[in-house]
Amino acid sequence: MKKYLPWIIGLVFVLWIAGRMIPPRPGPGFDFARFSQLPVLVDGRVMPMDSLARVSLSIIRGRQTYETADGKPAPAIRWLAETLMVPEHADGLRVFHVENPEVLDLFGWSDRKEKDKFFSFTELAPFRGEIQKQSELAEQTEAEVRNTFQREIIKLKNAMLLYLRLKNSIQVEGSPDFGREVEVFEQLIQPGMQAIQDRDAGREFNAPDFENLLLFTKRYQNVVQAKYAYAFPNSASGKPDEQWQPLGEALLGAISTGQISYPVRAYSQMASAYRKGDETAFNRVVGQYSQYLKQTIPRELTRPRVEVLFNQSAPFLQAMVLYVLGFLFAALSWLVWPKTLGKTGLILIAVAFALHTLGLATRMYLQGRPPVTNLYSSAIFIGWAAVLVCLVLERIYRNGIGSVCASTIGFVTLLIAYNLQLDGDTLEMLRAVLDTNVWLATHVVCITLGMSGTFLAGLLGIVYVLRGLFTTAFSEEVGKSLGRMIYGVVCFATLFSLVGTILGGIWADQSWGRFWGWDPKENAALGIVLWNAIILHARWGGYARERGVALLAVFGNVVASLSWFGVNMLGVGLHSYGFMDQAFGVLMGFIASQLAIIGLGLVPTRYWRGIKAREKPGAAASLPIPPTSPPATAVPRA
Amino acid sequence: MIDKLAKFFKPIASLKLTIICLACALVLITVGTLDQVNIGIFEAQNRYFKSFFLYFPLPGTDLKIPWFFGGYTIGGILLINLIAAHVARFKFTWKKAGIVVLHSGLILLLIGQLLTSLFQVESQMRLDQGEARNYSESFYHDELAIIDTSAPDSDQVISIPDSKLRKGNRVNLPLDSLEVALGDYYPNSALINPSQLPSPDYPHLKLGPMAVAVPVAKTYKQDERNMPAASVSVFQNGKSVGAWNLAGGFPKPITFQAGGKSYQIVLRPKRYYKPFFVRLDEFRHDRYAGTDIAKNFSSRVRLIDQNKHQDRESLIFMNHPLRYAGLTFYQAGFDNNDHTTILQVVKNPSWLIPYVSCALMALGMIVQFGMHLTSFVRRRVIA
Amino acid sequence: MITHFCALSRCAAHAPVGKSFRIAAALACRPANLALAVLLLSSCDQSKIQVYRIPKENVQVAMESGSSAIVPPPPSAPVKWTKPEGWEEQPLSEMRQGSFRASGPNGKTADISVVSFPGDAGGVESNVNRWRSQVQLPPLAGEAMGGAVQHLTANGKDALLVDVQTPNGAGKPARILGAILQTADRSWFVKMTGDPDFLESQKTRFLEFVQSFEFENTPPVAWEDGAPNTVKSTNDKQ
Repeated sequence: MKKYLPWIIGLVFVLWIAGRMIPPRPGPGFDFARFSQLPVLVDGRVMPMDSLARVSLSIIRGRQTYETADGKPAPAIRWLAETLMVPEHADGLRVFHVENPEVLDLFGWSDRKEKDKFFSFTELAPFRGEIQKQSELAEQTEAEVRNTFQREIIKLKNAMLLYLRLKNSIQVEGSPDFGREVEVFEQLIQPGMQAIQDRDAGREFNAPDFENLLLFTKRYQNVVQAKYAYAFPNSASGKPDEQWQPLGEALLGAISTGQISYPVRAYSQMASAYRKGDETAFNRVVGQYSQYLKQTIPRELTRPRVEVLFNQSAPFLQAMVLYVLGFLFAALSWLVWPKTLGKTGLILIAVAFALHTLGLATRMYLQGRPPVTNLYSSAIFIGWAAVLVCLVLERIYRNGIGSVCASTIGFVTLLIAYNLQLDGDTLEMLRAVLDTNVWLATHVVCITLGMSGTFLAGLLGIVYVLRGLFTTAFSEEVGKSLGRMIYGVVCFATLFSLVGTILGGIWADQSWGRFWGWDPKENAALGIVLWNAIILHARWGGYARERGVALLAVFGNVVASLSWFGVNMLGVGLHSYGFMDQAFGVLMGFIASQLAIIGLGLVPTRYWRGIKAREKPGAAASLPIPPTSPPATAVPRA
Repeated sequence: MIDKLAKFFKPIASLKLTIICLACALVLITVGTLDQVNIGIFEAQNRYFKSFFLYFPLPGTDLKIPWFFGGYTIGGILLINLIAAHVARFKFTWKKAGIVVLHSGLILLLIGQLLTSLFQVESQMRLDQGEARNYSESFYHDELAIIDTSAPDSDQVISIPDSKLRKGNRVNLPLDSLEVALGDYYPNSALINPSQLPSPDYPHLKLGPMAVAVPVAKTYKQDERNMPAASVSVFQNGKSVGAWNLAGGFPKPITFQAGGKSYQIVLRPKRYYKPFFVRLDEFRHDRYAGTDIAKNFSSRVRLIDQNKHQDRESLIFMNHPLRYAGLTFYQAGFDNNDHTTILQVVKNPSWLIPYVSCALMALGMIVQFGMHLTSFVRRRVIA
Repeated sequence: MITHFCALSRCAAHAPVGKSFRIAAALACRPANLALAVLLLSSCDQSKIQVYRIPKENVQVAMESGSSAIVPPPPSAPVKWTKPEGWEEQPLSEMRQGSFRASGPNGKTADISVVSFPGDAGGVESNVNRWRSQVQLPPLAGEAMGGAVQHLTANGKDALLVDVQTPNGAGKPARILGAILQTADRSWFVKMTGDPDFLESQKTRFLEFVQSFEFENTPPVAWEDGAPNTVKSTNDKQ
């Protein structure tokens, strides 16, 4: 029975997680499920409405959910529906995140004791001119040297700009019944065109017809400037660049063809139905439009559907939960019931790893690219690779250390990734210089693996120090096996970071004409190689032994975190692809913590609890640790 | 005697020195990278990595105090240390084969990088649609060019590098007994309307009725170019031939006559002439649908080399340069709303060395770590 | 594995002065010499005067006095406008991108030109003052300048309008109606000159003409990011 206990516990949690991942059954009311899947072209890629909602709300509010007028939490897609189709309601929703005190000062709101710093568009609207003016001033300073106020005001302006564009994505903002308006417009086109031709030819022309068409044209020309989400497929056009149209162009295009395209009509009817609260009509139009898409652009439908599923099941979030659970079990296994709890922990972590892998693979499918393309995906991949190595270590050493490290790194990297998600679309299109799958798959992956290894070695070093200093579970074998793990992982990290750096140099030579340009990111990669090389040489020269190597490995965390995030904060050079803000404080805190641990580790070993426990007569470590490493075999001297 | 040398030699080959050098390199890289935010990559390269020492200017004086080692010193010591270690300690056994190969690759890489930093020349070629050019221009260096245009079929260019252009300098030219005297020299200047001068005696150089040049601070920004201005007088056999104010922003040369010959004089970015022409036929800037995000940049150019009877088309795009005559042309930028392409031209005779050394290092690593892994696995199997 | 490297460190401690060392001592001199030579040779050609021959170049030369005006390269952004009724197109010159003539009763004519320069061509103030000087008016500065220009919109773009006339007694009466428009990288100047009364009759047409200006890639006028530097690197985070 005891043998099956881990599996049973594991199964219980797995089923629980699986339950959280299944999308909710569509209830009565508006068919948001189908609406979420409708494809739109945004920033060069076709995404489902659900993703547009999540990305936009992340940019504006910093979360993927919002609070309705009655204070209830609701998913992003509902907010998007309000914004797209009932903008006057959306204007009153408190979604704009403003927290910087200097920005609040601009509006005279700094003494408002709101706990949540969220404001509605209506509240911000009177200050539009001021916001515009301040952000124009701020934009004149170079991005790298802007202060917090400047960055925040630009962020707010961009959020408001995004919001305005969304409001004019499928209907003209302020239209009380866009479905009807579009029909009226369509009827006006032909007589209006006739009037224009007559006027040009100098003949008698129908002035009202002429005026009406002019009115509509002016109205829709204003919308042209708000283009962002291209919601209307344009299969009539042969050009690959014009397969999708934004609202303004779609409406004005109708003038030349003489009729409104079906997508425009469908969306306008959706808007009208939604405004009236007519659920049946809305659902019917959504269904018809989905059918239309199936017939005209079937190939563009699979990915959005998968993406909606991916968004809703949130595999990375579920993996985070399982990593935490796994950590608890594995850490507990150091105290009591090592075999059972250890195995349960391992099972949970393995399932988490499976979800982690699933998420990673889905992202690769959706983007059509190797796994690492931006900062967000690098965080996911660093965690994935480290967890994999830890699982291997656990399989070899079976002492819970691998599990604890796997769950820690898995959780932390996914948490970092979650915070990086708030900048925008994580499945974004790659700019020209990165448009090369070969180098993405080789150089970037190797560098990321090198970083992964460096962090893992650092974590093992932390385990070494903490266990040795504060617990009695630190027998010689534990120390030795930790020492070997660290050494092995550092070798792994050195290999991959050196290969990755070399590949980077070759890519740079192919791309920019020089193998090495002392670019910040190149220097950062070199820093990791140098530090790992220092650890290896120190060990080989006997200058650092078990404890020394562990402490050096912990410092590797400092080097690696500066390399990963620090360079992005510099923003100079050919490698500036991401930009961090509040992360700076977190980074400094992390570095301080690592230095503190190194400081602790420098305490002479005779004061270490774990070392002292070794000297006690008959000292089996008071915590049961199964034999770990193989007996040291005498290797013949060179 | 050999014993004394040995005593001296031991520390050079020691592992301790290696670790110290690696640590110093790490410090250098950190400081250099942080300073790049302020002084730009080009300047940071010169100060930190292409130097022997790092200096810190003593305030109030012209003295510079060295406070740390620069790239050449650290790299040099590392190189010597590596070679010495191999010679002194390593015996060439099979077991060490991996590390020997790896380190030889590293030695080759360091040497290659030294050669590159000494001999590499980077320049830019700006081509408007349809334009053909046989020269590229430096982004950082300028020249005062005096061109003898008397010959019917060729021009003779005398190029004075900007390192010689300082206020008060007199430069003797190797031809025609010409001598150039520099008056004011501004390393970076801005062109303004005379009415915009803060005061009448604000330092400036008059360039025309509508334009004067005023000195401004040197820029270190990556995409901004310094625009020099100078007041120049030319003498022949001691007699004055002419005096003009020149500015880098006015690329049209000024003509003058001296000793029966006609010349042109111009202050411009340093030019590197080539024995062939490159013509831009089409520049494409493909964007992702509905966005301004760049998908691809490409320049379709025509290479026209009359001496070598080459007249062919070539497509230069991201990660795909054109290699010809020891030069490599890369797609670097664009301007004028996609009507002008900017190609980066790199002359680097030692470009192949990193590839060879990387191959060696990869081989060495695979061998060495492979041996580790197999022995580790073997031990566990025994256990 | 570990013992290999222990052996290594032991070697480091007691390096035998063996054959390999003697060879090394002998070789040591040569690489150093080579290195020195290389370093000396590469006293960069950055600091030497160079003389070379090139094939003849057809370069436009400036006058000896060095007063070459900056000739604007052809406009990068194609611009469209609607020519008002009654204006005749005139042949373009090196400077003008558009040239028209309006004729009225009594042989009165007005000359309309469209010119563009890269960047802000000296700024609004200097150009307004240039026009002022052309009708014998004194220049303005600072706040006074603000009162002398009006704003109008052309297809969503902001345009500045200037209306100046020779003061009484300053000779032959002349009037200039000028408009200044800015795109991301160029400034456009539309100028109508002629007899003051005649210009009054043409004023509506002039305004319509200016308002009909349409530039490719017009950025939205409100909520726009700052005007970008035109030179772009292919590595830019665009």
